[in-house]
Amino acid sequence: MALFKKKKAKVSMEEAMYMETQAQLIWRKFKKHKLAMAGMVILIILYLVGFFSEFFATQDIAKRSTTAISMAPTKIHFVDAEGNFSLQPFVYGLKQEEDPVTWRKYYVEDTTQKYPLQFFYHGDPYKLLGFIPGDIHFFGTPQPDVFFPFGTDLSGRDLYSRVLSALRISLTTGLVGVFFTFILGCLFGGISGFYGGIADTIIQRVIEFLMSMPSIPLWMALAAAFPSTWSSLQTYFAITIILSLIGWTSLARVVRGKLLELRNEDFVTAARVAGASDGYIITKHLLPSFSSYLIVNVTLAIPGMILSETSLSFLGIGLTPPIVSLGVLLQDAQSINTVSMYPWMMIPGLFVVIAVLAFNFVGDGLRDAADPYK
Amino acid sequence: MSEIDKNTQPLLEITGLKKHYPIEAGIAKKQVGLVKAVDDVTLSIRRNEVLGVVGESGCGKTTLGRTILRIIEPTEGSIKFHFDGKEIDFISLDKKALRGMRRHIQMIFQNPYTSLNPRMTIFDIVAEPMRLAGDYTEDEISDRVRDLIGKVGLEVKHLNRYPHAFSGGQRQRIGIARALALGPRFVVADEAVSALDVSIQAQILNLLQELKEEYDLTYMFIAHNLSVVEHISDRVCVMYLGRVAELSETEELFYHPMHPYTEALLSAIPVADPTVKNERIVMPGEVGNAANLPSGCCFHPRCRYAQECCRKECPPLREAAPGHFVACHFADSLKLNGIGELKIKN
Amino acid sequence: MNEYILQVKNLKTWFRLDTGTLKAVDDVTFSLKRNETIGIIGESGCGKSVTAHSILRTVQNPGKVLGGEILYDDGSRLADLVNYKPDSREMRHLRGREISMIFQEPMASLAPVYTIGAQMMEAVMVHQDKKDKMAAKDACMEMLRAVGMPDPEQKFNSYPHQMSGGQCQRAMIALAMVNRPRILIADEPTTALDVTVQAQITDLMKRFQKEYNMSIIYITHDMGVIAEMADTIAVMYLGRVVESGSVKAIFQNPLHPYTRGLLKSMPVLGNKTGEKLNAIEGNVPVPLDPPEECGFCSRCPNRTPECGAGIPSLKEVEPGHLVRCFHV
Repeated sequence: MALFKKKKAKVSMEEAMYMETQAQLIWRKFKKHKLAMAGMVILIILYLVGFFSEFFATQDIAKRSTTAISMAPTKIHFVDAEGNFSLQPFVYGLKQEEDPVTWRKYYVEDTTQKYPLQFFYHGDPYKLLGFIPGDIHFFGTPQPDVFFPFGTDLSGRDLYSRVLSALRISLTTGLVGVFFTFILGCLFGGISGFYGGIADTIIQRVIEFLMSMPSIPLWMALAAAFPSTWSSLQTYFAITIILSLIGWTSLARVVRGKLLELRNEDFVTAARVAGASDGYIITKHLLPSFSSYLIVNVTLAIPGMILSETSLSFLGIGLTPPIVSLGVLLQDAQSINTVSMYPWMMIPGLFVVIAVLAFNFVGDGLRDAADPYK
Repeated sequence: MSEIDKNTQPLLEITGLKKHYPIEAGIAKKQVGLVKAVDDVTLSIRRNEVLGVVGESGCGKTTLGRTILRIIEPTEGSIKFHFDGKEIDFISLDKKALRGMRRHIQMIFQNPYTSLNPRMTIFDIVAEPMRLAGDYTEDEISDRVRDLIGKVGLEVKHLNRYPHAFSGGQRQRIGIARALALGPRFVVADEAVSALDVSIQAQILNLLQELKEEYDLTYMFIAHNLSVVEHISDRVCVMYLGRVAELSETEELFYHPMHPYTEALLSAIPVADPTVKNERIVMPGEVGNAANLPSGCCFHPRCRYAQECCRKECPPLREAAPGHFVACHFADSLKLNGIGELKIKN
Repeated sequence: MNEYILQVKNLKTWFRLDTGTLKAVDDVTFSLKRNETIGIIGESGCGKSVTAHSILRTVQNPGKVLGGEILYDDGSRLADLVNYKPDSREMRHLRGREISMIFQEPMASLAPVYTIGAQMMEAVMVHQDKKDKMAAKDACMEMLRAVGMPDPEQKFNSYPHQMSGGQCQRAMIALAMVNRPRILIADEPTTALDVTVQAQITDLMKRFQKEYNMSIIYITHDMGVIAEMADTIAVMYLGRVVESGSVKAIFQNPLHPYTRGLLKSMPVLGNKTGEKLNAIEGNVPVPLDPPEECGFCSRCPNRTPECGAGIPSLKEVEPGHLVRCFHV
């Protein structure tokens, strides 16, 4: 084998293609799928921003600005009232005014106060990932209560910072939920497909039963079962487990179908003729053969999880404040009044759409690339 | 055991081999019928010979091959191998002993595209049987894989490639190298050249013959192309609906068939010579249903010589002439045409 | 009226792929006489199926007919099918009515959710000006009887999965023949069938040819079938016709090294010598951005340096016998 390794360094382009592993082939095909690549870039950005949300946020997510309640997104200027252009963007201070007829309060820009925006300024202190202390923020102004990129909510909290923080929770719920789904789906699908018989019949009937249940009442029933004394972290895990308990069924079917198909492939028979045991065939031939399908299915399952979490939280039976998830933030946008008067409250919904679309694009790209041999 | 006995004793003896599949219906899985895929097959294969097995699709030739390898467990019957004077009752082996025996009997598949795992390199594919056997060191495996790859006509430098880099013919060579990895004595080649192009088919047939001489192999060559079977086989077995219709030396069978089905089959072979006039024997109807066999001789509904007794009595396989086995009541009285009479050159 | 019903000249059908240009058909020339059968023979990937689809203008994307002529003579005028758009009215009129096609996998080529009868009726009605259901049904039943379908009444109302492979191929032929086309293109029609069924199907096609005055393009890789079926033969290799001529010329006096190799590499029935076959060395190349050289030169036993210098042209060696080789 030593000889091969030496030779490998000098192989031609064509030879390199012939020696490509499955992962390399998939990646080469995936790269050609423009939408999927775009989706992947967006997802990487969303996860990075969500993960380090304290750094990217403009202020503490719990801080209320009494002077800025339900305020529209702040305008960013490059040209001031006198018509002077500056390369550094800035925002104006705000003052509250009242409509003399409706008595409705609104904010107008105070062009006398000018606050330049900057990168890496010192602002509210935070603990990154819960333990790294810091006070440097990515972009904004050190002056408090003036810069709200997405506006503020009904209590005067900065929506931008809250959305970033919510991304972390919502996007990881998807991942954690899918992880449990994956385990349950592979286990039950595997038993069902490989052993067949009674086990298969029972598992298939259970899947049909679970699939036939309306999901919202089921969630409500399960959510009602946890004690109200649980901490928000406990509820968070409970929610992901509920989601995966319901979500494993379709994955189990995929695993079963694929196993049934692969079990009779010639190369599996060849391994059996060569004297392979069941365990060897499963781990060396069957599992690697459908790992690509599993990855595709899992990728396509994540957006479902994100949507489920959002719906649960929106209905008030999922995550609850002080945890912020996109669904929790959207609770503010439940009434028509709020939406019509403060449309920026819908911004968290926009992020749900972006994340779900991005996952679907990546999943589509993976599906097209997953079977490089066809 | 004397030296002579060892050589005349068949390598493989199959007696009364049956594979029946129950047809089940309803939730209670009640058995409502029986598909007789292989029904009472008795034959023996001599050492270092090629036994061709021919028949139309659904005649049970593939099931027979797989049952002999115990990829499919037979319903009834016995399979006995004679290796080095020892008799091995293949059916009675337990799972572990069976895995140990696998090294002696191997298989070559029809479809070169599905028989290689696309996720393994050529080296790993050919090395797999040796790794599974467990009594080779990595160095020995590496040497043997290189040796085999050279023997089947591929280049050693391609060992790190994946199957997708190879054409159908080359893949079939890899499959053959894998089958030979453990030094088998008996190889079932199930339609091993059917999926290949004409020019590639000849290469693989030649390769199979070379390897047979070099490694003292015995083949069971399952195919539907009669010209190919005639070329490679020492003896030919014609199957119809799970049963052996006729079994004889190749030339004897092609020139002096004794079963009406063989005659009809021979008449249908197209000849690659425009000057040859083909006497076609038309068989009425289609191949019967293995789930609902005709009474008596299962060929009688399509046989132009069928008489009353054919409808009632199933003819046993008997030795009608020395070394010529046939399952027909009238094998002795019928004067059937072989390819000498059927393919007339103008 | 022209002696030839179809003349294909220098046909080019290329597939532009990400990895390069696949010259599936690159200079194919042959002529089909009235009431005769031309056999197109070649190995997988030689472009024989793409040729058939090019004639019907049903080449799948990204394949395109990029050059050459397909001259079809319908008895009154000569039309070049290359000039028609694939989905034009003229082509739709031709397909199924003047030129029909049958395929290798009869099960896969028949729609699984419609009965045989419904599919045949559709084929008839599409080409009828005034829709006459009764007449259409009569035509279908007549054709089902003609192809020797057992129990045609019942099979008219059967679905493809209820029939055997041989019956499906008969149904496929009935479907292709129901409008009495002038040309029938048969793309490996018997490859998936057993020899006995194959013999029945080829006999049926020969009978139909006589009864309906039809010309057949028979595509296959089986030299045996072609020897029985064809009047003339075109041998294809790597997207080009390398030799064409009468069936006698090709089998008794093959001139191209590929044709010779092909004939020698087959086991001949009744000629068991125990000797090895004369196989053609090497593998069939893929015509992806092929070099400017004789396509067969990588496997040719009589190769000379000249063979790599360019693509030989198709030369007429004796009347009607054309060969594409520098050394003939």
